[in-house]
Amino acid sequence: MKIPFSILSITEKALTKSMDVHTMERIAKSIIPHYDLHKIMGFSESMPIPNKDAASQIVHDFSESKYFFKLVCALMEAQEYGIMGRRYPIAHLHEIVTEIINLGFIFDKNNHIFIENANTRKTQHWGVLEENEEYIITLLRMDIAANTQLVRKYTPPLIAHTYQNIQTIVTSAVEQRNGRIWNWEGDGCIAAFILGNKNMTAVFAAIEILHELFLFNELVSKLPEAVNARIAIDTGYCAYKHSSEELKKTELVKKIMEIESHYTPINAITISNTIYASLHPDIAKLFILTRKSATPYYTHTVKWEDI
Amino acid sequence: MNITVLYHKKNASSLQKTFGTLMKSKKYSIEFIDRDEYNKPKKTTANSLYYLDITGLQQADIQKYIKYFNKESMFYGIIDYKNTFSDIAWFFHNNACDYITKETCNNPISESRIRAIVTFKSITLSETPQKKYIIARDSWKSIKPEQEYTFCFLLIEILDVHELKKHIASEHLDSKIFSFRHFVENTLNQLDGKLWMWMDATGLFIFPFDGKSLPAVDSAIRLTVNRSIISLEHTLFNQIIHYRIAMHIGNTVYQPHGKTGTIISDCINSLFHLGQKYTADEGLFITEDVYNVLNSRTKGMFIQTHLFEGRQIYRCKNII
Repeated sequence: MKIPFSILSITEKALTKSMDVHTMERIAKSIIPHYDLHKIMGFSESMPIPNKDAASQIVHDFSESKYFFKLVCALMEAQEYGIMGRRYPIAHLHEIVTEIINLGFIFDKNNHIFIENANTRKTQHWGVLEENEEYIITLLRMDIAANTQLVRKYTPPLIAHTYQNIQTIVTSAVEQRNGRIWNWEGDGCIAAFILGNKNMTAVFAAIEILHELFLFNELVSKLPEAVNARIAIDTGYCAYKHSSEELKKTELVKKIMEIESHYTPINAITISNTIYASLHPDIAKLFILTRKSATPYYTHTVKWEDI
Repeated sequence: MNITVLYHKKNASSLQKTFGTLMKSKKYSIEFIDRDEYNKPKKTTANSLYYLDITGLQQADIQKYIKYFNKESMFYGIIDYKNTFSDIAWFFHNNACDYITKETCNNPISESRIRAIVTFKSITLSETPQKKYIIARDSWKSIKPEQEYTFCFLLIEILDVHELKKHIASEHLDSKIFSFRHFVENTLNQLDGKLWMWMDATGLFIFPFDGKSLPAVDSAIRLTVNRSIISLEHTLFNQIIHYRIAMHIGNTVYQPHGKTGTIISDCINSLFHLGQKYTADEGLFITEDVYNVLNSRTKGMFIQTHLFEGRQIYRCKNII
C-alpha cells in the first residue's frame, strides 16, 4: 500500500523532534531486527548521523516495506509504555493516527495493530495480515451435516438456493462481528476472528448461525427436511495464507476440522478448553464437558424447546 | 364469519379444543369471552354466531340470555357441557341454531357443522372475518396526529427489574436499560416501527398495519431466540437478561411520542395487561389478531396457550 506523502512527512517530523538517532534505530530494529541505519546510509559506525537525515531514511525505508504501520504502533507504545523504562512523548502522534484513520483504518487496542475499517473496505486479511506470518487467530469451522445425502436427494437448483441462503446467514453472522470467511467449500466454511475478545465473538457468531439456521428451516427453506450443521471453534497461532489449500495444511485448521468432524454432534458447537476459559460465565454455562482428556472439549447443543 | 363463545371459566381449555379446527381456518374468527365478564353483549351482525355455555346458569338466567339474543336478532347456539337441560327442543323453539353436548365437545367442531347451521338459518356470510382496520395507505407518511388508525403494537419489558435494582445502582441500571432500549429501537426502526412510550423498563412500539403482513413478528422472534447474544453483545448489562414481548393489532388515535398521556385506548390497555399480567414467563406472546395475519409457516412457530381477557393467546417456541 502506498502511504501518502503527508503522513510520511509528519512521521519524519515526529521522529526528529521526539528522540535521538540511537532511539530511532532501536525502534527500527525492534521491528526489522537486522536493520542497520549506518550501513544503509553509508556512514561508518563511529560517525554520527544527523537526526533529520536518520528520521528521513527510516521513514523512507519503512514506507517502502510492509512495516510502516508497525513503526507508528511502535511510536505509540514508546509514548504509552516507554522504551527501557523511559517514556517518549511523540510529537505529532495524534496527527499521524488521524491521517491513518482517514485512510480507512482503525486501531485495534487489543492487538496493537491498525486494521482496515470494515465500513470502508473488507479484505481477507483485514488489510494487515502478512502471508506466512503467524498470528493468534480464532477459527470457526462450520459444516452442513449429511451434505452428500441432501445433494443426492434433491435437485441441484434447490440445493444451490438453500446453500446460498445458508452462506448469507453465516457471512452475516461472521462479518457483522468483524470476522472474515477464509474459505467456503460448498457444504462448509472456515471463518477467522482476530479482533477484540475474538473467542467470545466467535462463539456469539456460532450461536447466531445455529439460531438463524433453525429459523431458516422453519420459515424460509424450500427443502422438505431441516438442514443441520456442526460448528467447532478453537484458537492458537496460525500462519496467514492467501491460498485456501495452503491454509488447510496449517495445524490449527487441521485441528479444528478434527474437532468438528469427530467431536461435534449435529446442531452443536464444540469448543476447546482455551475458548471455554475465555467465555462469559453466562455463556460458558451453556457448554458441557464432552471430552475428558488432556485436551478437553465442551459442547453446546441447540434444539427447539420440548412442547 | 365471527363466532363468539361465551364460556364458563371451568370449561375454557376444553372449549378451545372443541373450537380448535375452526380457529385454524381462515374463514372464521373465533373470540372467547368469559361469560361472567360479558354483561352487555355487543349488537350482532349478520355474519356472527354466538355460543352460550350454560354451565352453572339458572333457568331464569338462561331465559334472559335467550330473550336478549332474540330481541337483537342474534344467531346463537347452546353449549350444555353437563347435559343438564332435558328439554332441548325448547331452545330450537326459541330460534337456537345449534346445541352442543359434552359428547359433541369431545371432538373438534367441523366446518361442515357450521356450514349446516348457515344453511339452516340462512345466515349471510362474507368470506373474511369482519375486522375494522383503518389502514394508513402510505404508512407513516399518511399518519396524522389525533386520527385513528390500525397499528401493530409491540410491548417489550425487561423482567426482574426489582431484582436488578438490588444489585445495581440506579444510575448504572438506567444506562444499562437505555442500552437495551437503544438496541431494540434501532432494530425495530428498520421495520417502520416507532418507539411510542418508554416507562422504566417497558417500551411500547407501534407499526402501521397494512392489513396483510407483519414483518415485526420476525424481528420479535429473533429478539426472543437471540436473547443471550443480545444481552451480552448489545447491552451494557454484562449478564443475560430476561424479557417478555407481547404483540397485538388494534385501533387507536395516534399522537406523537411524548404526547401520548391523553390517549385512552382499550387495545393498549389490553396489551399492557397481556405484557404484564398474563404470565411471569419470558418469551414472545401474541394475540389471535396477530396470529390470524401470519402465514402458515410463521404460525407453526407459535403454540396455543390459554385465553386471556377473551382473546386466544399464542406463545412463540423457543430455542434452548
